[in-house]
Amino acid sequence: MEQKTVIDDLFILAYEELRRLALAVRRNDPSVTLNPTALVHEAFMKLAGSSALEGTSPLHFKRVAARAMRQVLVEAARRRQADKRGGAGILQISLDDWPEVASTSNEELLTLDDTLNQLALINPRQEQVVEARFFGGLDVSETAALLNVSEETVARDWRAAKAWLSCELRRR
Amino acid sequence: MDPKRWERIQALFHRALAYSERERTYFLASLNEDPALIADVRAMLGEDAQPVELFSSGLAHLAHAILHPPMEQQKFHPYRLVRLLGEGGMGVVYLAEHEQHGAPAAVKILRDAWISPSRRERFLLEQRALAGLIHPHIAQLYEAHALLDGTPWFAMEFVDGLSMMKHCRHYALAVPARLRLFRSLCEAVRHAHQQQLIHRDLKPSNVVVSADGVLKLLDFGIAQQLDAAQAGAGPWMTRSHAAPEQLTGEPTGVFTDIYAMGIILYELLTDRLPFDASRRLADEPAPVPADATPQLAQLCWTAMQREPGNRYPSVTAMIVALDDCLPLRAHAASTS
Repeated sequence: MEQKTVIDDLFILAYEELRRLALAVRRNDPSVTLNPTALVHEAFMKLAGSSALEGTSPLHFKRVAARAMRQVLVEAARRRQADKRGGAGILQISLDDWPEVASTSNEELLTLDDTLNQLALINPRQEQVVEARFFGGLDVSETAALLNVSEETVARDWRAAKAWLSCELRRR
Repeated sequence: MDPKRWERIQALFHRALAYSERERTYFLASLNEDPALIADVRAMLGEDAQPVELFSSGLAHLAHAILHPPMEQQKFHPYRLVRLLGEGGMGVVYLAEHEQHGAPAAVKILRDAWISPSRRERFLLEQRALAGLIHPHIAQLYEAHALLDGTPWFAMEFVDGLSMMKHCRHYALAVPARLRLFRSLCEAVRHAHQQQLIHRDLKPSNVVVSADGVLKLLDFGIAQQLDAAQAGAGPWMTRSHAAPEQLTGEPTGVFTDIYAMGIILYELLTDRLPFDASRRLADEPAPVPADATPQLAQLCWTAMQREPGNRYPSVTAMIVALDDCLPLRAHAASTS
């Protein structure tokens, strides 16, 4: 099957899994801290054996899944932002009613995405570290194997990038 | 920012981390550096000690906040949402009341229609399926609309009751009463088949019985037009009641619903599922419910044949067999 189909399938799976995860948060399910590692793994198990995944290593799959997670959330946040601004005069919502927390999260996520894109320009590897760790739930050793660098490098990249992204998030 | 500056900031950041907090101040002050760059390093050290909530609470919380916008503020004219009844992977269902006369309805909304065109298609398919079905044992579609952003939703009959198995247990129904419910379900499914529609997801949780015993079939979410019978049910079907051909991705048909009806009958008779989905493909004979009369056992057994061709050819054939089971004779005579 074509690579594009794999990405599309992953995108939908990532969405379904994120949705489940989000529901667990609402139920205050303590096991939710296990994720997103678990959910990427589960997505892999679901797709494993399908011809779509032939020749794909679990690690490569995780990398693609991390990207899909990021895309799903960015896409969702953009829609919500547009809705909130009444983009194209769409929804008839009273703006005051919209819970503050949701709109903050939308902005935060979009800022994170934006800043990650900037990070990619000055240090592409660090962007990949953050994407793999934060959106894909890969641990330090998996990320190191994926990027072909030492675990120490991943740890340093992650720490510096996180501190810088935090600064940017707070600034906006 | 240029890469060189970022390299320098990181180098100082990592060096400073090796010092205690008090020593860091001296270390940074001792450097002959651009003050703006030192300020950036200082800010990063502060964030390192106390990262923003996004990083401390993680992806799950972010997903929760972004993917769960409240529906209540949106307009579902002429209905007013009352409370959330349930949510699945595709959408949410709210209890609603009519703005003018207060009559209850269930409002089903497709969430995040943009995720993929196939979600939208599935949702609209259910809507079309329901629109074509008018039957006392099928929840009735009232009206279908879309929000201004294109999100489709529809209002349908609200059935206040328990799912079929819960109803049976709650009221401790004996076999004859359970068989009467099963017969109502057969009639609903037969009606759908007559409208060229296979349900493909028949299971007790899609069947609601009101307190006064009226049964309604719900959820035509993966229903399919008979003439469009294609292979595979996709990842949305429920494995617990899936027919062998659904598990292997072979074409589905009337016989697929017949199989699920067999499982439901088995559950009604024994209060448990006949067997695990993985064993359904093995070449072992269909299970026979213990303690059932030979006729009822035969009914279950025939419906659950591995080969579609060995099952009942239609729901009508199943109803005929069911009516042969003694306790139903009186009922059958009174309704037909």
